Amino acid sequence: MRRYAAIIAVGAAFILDTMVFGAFNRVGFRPEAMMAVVVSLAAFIGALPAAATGVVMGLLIDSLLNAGLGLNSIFMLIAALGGGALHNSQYGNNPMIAALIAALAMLVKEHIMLLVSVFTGRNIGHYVALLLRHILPSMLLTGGICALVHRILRATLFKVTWHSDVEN
Amino acid sequence: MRNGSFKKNLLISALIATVLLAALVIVTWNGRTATWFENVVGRVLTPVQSLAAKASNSISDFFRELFNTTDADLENERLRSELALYDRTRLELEELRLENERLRELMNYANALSMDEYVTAGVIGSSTDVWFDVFTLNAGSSQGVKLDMPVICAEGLIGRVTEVGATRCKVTAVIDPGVAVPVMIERTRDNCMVRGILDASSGGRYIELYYMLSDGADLVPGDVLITSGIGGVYPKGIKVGTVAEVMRGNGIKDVNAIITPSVDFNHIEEAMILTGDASGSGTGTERSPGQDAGFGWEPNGAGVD
Repeated sequence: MRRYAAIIAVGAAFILDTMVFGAFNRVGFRPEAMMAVVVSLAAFIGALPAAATGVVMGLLIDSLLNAGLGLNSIFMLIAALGGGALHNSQYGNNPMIAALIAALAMLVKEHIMLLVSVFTGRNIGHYVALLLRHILPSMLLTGGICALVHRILRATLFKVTWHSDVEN
Repeated sequence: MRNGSFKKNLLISALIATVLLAALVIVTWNGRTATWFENVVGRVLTPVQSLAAKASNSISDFFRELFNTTDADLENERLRSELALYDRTRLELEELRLENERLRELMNYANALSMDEYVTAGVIGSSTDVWFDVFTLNAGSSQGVKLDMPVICAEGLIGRVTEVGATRCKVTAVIDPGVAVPVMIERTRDNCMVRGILDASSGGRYIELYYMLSDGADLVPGDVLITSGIGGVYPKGIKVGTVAEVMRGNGIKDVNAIITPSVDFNHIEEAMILTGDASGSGTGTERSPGQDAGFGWEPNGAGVD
């Protein structure tokens, strides 16, 4: 059951990131559904399987849509390690903590992207304006998606597994 | 103790994976041809992405029309389309006229050739971040697409091909902050360069004029910029944008300007990849069957500076 829940969540995030959010990309900010799902999955199933899933999906997304191959995988790895800190902890069920970690992972991602942009000779304007108009909204949206995903996974599918775990 | 060892191993593995992935990013960053594995994945997912892109565009259009339903709005939309068409025709005619004048003066232009080899393709995806402006098109090396080929649409220049797979390619747009395009001001024939700028303070994507205009250069808002043909990547005469704001300094080469791109990058659905030689040595009117979608773009060719 857990496996199916993870596959459905990852598939939905892939569709959102590559097909839905792409159509509204140039409003200036966009969330990362895959990052939100990876953080949530890491909290439930552990950092290692979530990181493996994230790296593979990151490579797939980069291969299909982005310049360079592997950058997204690094961000997913960071997200999985962050989410993995919640695994088997008393905060593991808390969607707000997971959302906070997803938002922080997004903050790290956007700053790495900013550095990559600068090092590749891009003119990116004022940092504060970028922070306020792009980075913070992207962070908040990713955190919001993570809270929602975490709540859904916990309420619908993972709760059942926990009960059987307790019975066993 | 065991848990601590596991965490330590996990961190070391993550660090090694990060270094390997970073190396992969560096190796694959610049223009490249997709691997066989990517081609297989691309072949499987391109039809799915094409369908999803159509669905996504339909949803986007639905919401746009939902807030754009009065007769005046619809009329406005229709007139905008017509105006864009007339504008394009006017620009082409003006370019033809000017070119004709120059050809009369310079006999070595007599053999300038038109470039009308192209492949039309649909946009099936765009980059998953706002830092880079990369579009994925559903045409690749099997349709004759190669690296660095220019990509245009009815409104003007979109960008150039930076990655090619068998059935798909990635196009880096002119509004990408890492792209520089040699252009000329249509009215004054001054050559200069433009590059993309991510201007978060105004929340928009623009192109910035940044090179080669002297302080006394004649540049006013409304001036149209077209590709100059210098560098051999972009053929001459493709509309790039319109000057929105001019900023003058005190030094030499101290004229800067904000350019509004001619292409609406939010609503690109189809694009045309120019498969001929950008330097103007194309082979005339030869086209592969089924590749002409009738965009009606007939560049004035030449491309010789």
